[in-house]
Amino acid sequence: MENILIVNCNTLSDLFSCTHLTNSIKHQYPNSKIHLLTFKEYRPLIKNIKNISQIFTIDRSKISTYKKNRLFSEAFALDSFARSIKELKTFHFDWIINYQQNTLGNCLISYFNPESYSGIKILENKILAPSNNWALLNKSLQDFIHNPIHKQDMIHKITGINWSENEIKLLTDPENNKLVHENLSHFRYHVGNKKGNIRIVAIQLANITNGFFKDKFIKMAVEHLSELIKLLLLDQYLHPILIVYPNSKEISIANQLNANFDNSLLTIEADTNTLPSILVNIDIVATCDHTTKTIADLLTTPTLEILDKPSSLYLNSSINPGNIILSPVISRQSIIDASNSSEYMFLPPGQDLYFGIYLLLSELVPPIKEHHLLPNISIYQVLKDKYGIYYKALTGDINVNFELSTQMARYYLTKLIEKNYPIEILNTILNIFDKHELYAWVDHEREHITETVVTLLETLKYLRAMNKEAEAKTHFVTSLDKLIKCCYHDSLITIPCTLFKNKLDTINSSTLDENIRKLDRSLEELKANIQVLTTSLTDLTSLEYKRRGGNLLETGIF
Amino acid sequence: MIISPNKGNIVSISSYEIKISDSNHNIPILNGIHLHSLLDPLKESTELLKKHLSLLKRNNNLIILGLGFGYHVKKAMELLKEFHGEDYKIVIIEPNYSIIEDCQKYNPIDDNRVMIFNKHVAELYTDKLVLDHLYKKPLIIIHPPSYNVYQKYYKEYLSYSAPKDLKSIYRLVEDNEVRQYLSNYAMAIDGDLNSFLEYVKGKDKITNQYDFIMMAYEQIN
Repeated sequence: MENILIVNCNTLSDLFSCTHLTNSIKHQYPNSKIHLLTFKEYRPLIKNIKNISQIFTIDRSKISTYKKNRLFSEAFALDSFARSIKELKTFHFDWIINYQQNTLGNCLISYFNPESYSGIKILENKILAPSNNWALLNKSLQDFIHNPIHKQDMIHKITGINWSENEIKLLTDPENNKLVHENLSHFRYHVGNKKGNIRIVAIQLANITNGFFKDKFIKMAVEHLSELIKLLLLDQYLHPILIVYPNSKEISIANQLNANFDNSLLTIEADTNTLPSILVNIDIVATCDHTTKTIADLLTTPTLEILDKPSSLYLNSSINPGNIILSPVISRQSIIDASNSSEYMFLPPGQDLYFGIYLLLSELVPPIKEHHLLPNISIYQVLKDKYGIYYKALTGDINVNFELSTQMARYYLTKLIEKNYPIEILNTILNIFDKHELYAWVDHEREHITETVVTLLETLKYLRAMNKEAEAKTHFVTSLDKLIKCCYHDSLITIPCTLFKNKLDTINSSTLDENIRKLDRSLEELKANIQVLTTSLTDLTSLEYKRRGGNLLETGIF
Repeated sequence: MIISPNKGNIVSISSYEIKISDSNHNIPILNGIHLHSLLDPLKESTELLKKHLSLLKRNNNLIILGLGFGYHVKKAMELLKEFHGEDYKIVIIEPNYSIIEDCQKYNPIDDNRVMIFNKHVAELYTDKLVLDHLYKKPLIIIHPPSYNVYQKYYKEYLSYSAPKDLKSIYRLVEDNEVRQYLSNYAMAIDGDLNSFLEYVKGKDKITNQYDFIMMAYEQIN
């Protein structure tokens, strides 16, 4: 694999998170050249990303201006875009990876038609050709409310690349490092004279300012952070500093905070090129900013992450084991509510943030006394097993059903796609949840499965009767509609039903008979996928039984 | 100074004469309107640009509507040099070629950072140099006497909206292959680019590799 192109045209934090993949690729294919296609505005901000031979860009800003401004003909936007893409065609890429697994990347894969690709290629007859089953699954689950496989794991599975943990993932500037190290050493010494050896906790303000423009939200953020800062100032082991991006809004908020402390707080302005140097020289970062958190992950800086919204967990949350995440309570409903709200904001009070920091340091400093989080706040710990990243709910307001569903979904999907039995995942589940919670949840799941299977069988029956009975068509439509509604249940059955629903969208043959055949196959596939779900639940209960002293061989599992 | 001429008068003028001001400067008079002060055009230019000082400090790209004999242009150049050094650009929109010629004769502007365009409005908005300049969101300064003479022309310029139909769009595409691809549909599809994109997405088959480019293009916002 000599020339590899990664298409990554989304956010800046996605570019940094892509570093995990580029490092893994380089480890597996050390002679490969990895190139990146991204937006032009990011080029100056990603100098630290390792292992990239060449960066190609699309001038999104220009294209967007030409598209939206009435003065310009859209011809110029098209020209700009076409020019960027055709420049790429002069290179020969052996492998194109659609990092975002989005339509843009899929169209480019289809246009370039490389030897190897990771994503979805659109064939001439508009049939989608996924590069592997994980790519197909990922596409199908894009509308799914809560994909239980972390984005990083998913992209590694889609590309078939093994995670490489041992590389240095991000370059830092030696001059910046030296300067920051010297300055922070002086700072530690100065503070240490009063407190003894301290750990510096950097509070990164971005996203607090970006997401919450309304004054009342900023006022609340300042209050909560002031509370945290006060606790850290009084703490014998910890000491706070502020990190801000160099923009007027963040600086203004930092000034507001600092005013509460007689301007005694150390505030560091850092853009994405200098931020790495700071993060390697501090002990902990507390942030809700995706880019900061991603860079901290790459540098293995312990992170207290404040989740901006419930759906972010598994999408782009921190991935380093041991990191702590403060989150709003996560459930299907809370995810829907947050996504429907234009004023959604989550920022826990200072006491809860402080507690989260202590959980992060649990092996290094004595714990603080028992603390009760406010309602609707959960704390997760980042963990990793051989199947990937997962988040263990440590304390707080936990929706047990949702957590169990998420963990079991990992098991189910791994079993479905890789056709193996990831027993470690089951063991993890059994270590976390108690027996009563487990069986209550399993019963709940089985009810939904039964209901869905009944509907599925009805649908199949009426489908197969459509050519013979006049009324079958109406009944079929009713059953199918009911089956599709199963995608919105609060249960794991939504996964196979969502996969089925996505299949429906591709059924568009020119003859009714052909469509009926395809639908029949899809329904059979749904049946098979539900069967895997059923046996997954049995695997779980059987293992639980075995751990209580039962004999697994008697159950017929494994 | 770079001139992009139509080499004709884009607007009709009933009378044109030149007088000498009290300060010994040449003053063009079009349709009875003095394009500069008959007392002191330099002082008048200073007053005109004074109103835009704070914006000139923040913006090194300028569009001036109306050349006249360039007294206000030279004042703008002086200010831009003061605020931005050598890094500035001025585009002047002047529909009267005679004015341009005489300006060069009586008060020549010798600076490659100044470009004068003498074109119909629709042509201006398809000129790459103008477009590149517009993209930088320049400050627009109106030369009031020129505006009074060429009101219709400048109003058209300021209220311009690029045509959205596919037929107009494809003709402006520089890339030969993309232009050819669009031209195949431009006659058949009566609508804008969005209609065309919907058509491409709705097709049963991919019939041209540029279908992928169009579908990818739609994703850029």
